[in-house]
Amino acid sequence: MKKNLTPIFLFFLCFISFFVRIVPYITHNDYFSADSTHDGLLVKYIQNTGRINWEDQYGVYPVLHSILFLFYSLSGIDFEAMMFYLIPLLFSFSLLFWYLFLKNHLGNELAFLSCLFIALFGPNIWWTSQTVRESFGLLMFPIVVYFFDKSTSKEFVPFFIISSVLMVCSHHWSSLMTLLFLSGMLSSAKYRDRWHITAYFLFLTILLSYWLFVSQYIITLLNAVLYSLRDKIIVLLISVILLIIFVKLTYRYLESFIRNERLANALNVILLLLLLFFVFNTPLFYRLTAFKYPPQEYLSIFFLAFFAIFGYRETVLKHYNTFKITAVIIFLLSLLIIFPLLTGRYSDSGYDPIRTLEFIVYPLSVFSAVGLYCYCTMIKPHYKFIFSSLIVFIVFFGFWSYPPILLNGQVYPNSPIFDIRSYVKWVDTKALDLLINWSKSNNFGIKAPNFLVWNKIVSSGYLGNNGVVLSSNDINLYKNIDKITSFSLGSPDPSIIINESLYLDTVYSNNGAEIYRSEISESSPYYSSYYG
Amino acid sequence: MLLAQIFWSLFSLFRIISASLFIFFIPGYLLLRLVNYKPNNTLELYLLPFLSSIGISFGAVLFCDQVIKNITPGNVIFVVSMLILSIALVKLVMGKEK
Repeated sequence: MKKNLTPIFLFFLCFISFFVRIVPYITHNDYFSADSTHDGLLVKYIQNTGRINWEDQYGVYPVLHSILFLFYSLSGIDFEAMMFYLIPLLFSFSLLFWYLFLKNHLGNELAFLSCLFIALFGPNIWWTSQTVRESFGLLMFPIVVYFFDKSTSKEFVPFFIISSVLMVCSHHWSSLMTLLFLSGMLSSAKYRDRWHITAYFLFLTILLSYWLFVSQYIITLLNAVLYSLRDKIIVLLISVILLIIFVKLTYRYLESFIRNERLANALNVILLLLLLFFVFNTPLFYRLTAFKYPPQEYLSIFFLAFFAIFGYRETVLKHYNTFKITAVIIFLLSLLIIFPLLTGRYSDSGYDPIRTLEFIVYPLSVFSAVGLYCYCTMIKPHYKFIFSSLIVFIVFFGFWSYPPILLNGQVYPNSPIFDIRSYVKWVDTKALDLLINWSKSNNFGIKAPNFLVWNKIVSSGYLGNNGVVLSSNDINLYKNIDKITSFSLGSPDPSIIINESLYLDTVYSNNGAEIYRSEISESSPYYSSYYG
Repeated sequence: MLLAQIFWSLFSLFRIISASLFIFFIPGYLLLRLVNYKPNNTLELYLLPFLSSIGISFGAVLFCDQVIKNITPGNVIFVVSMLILSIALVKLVMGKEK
């Protein structure tokens, strides 16, 4: 990459990263997840009361809400437009920190390619387009890593502290992933100086203090997870320690194995076959994920892993230190997938291990960037054409991370590309608005089992115990119940309310939603789930 | 009517740009200038104020929540301005001592 073209390439990177994240809003101009509606409500809470809602589980991570509130009140921009476009834009800027971080270690081209892989990686696109706390966590992630890397120089220490505080106050899961990432960096001798160790413990102190004194429910959650793993935790810990010792002892042989071209090629073939097995054996993924995603969801994962297989050997040969650190980080982050897979308890804790992927892409994109770069240099005479085609493919696969309803308004039921998130993450607002207007004019307080509908009712101010809303989404979810592995993850089991509604009177109905008079007894499971 | 619409659009654009600069650039930039920070490259010149400004804005919101007990845009602007002014004052006094 010519040096004077770098700003143009970086602008292109930010633009394409921003564009793929706002596509659902261009086509729909509406929220598409329950969490983002909840975060929107917390912004409105600050606006209405002038205080942060520390009582709310989401409110104890107030960075996103504070920034959105400030921007909304100062700019006078439409609330929804601000919610939809601001975070994708900020995320695109934060990629530049990752670029600066990698540029110091790998050079301009590889840093750019790595950022491109992150910008167009499906799970990352999906989470950073939603304006939730996690998207702010993802935004802060490369910033913390960049300043951790730079923490040897005194002038960067205040920035590291600011970014750590912002990260810890942004999102618990992102903070945990950052901690694992920094632990991985610390495993390398390059980072084991007193400055980096101090910076690491500083981050740990900020994180634990926040969890202990402000967000205690995380400690309760961790306790619950550890309790659910109580019978296997010792076996798991011993297995991990043994695995680390095994890798440490055999590392030298493994390294010479990779350096040998023939053996490495054989290993690549095995890895590629394994990758194909994983991607085409979707039932295996079903054990990991909260929803049974359609095959197109895995295209972007496949593409990233494919180039990573191409690139890991080259990384060993040319950027040995980077390989060591990256491999350790990938290993540490992958543990969060392996643990629940082995125990099968993830659904109890309400934690989706597939969400690790949006963070794993950061270290993995280094291998993929090296792989793509090698591939392009191998076919040098035509590399411009092939490189452009590959970029088009990556963009295309990135788009498929959205359920089809957010792209062209179609659900495609009974087809292989049917995505259950079309019913979980999106609701027909027109029908719901009509219903809410009816409840307003009749002074009829309503509630809903669907978290997304619930939040819409809360924002309308007509939450009450007079009636229960059953939307067409609940019925569609009920019909496709086999596509949901875990109901604890933002998609409550609709069968309870549907069964209850058989015995209730319909008060209002339109094409997309119905209100039933709520006469549910306190012994009903529906009552305990939603009425507290 | 058209003139009014154009004026209103320009005013809205001005508000958006000012809000973006206030939340994402100016406080951090001023702070870095006050501590005589010299960036290593052009990207850092924009990215470091970006991060610092988010930090300052969030800090100001927290201050308004915990101390003033009322978060309003006016209060936040006041807190941020006071912070920058007090740092500038400290710098002025320390400069004279030298």
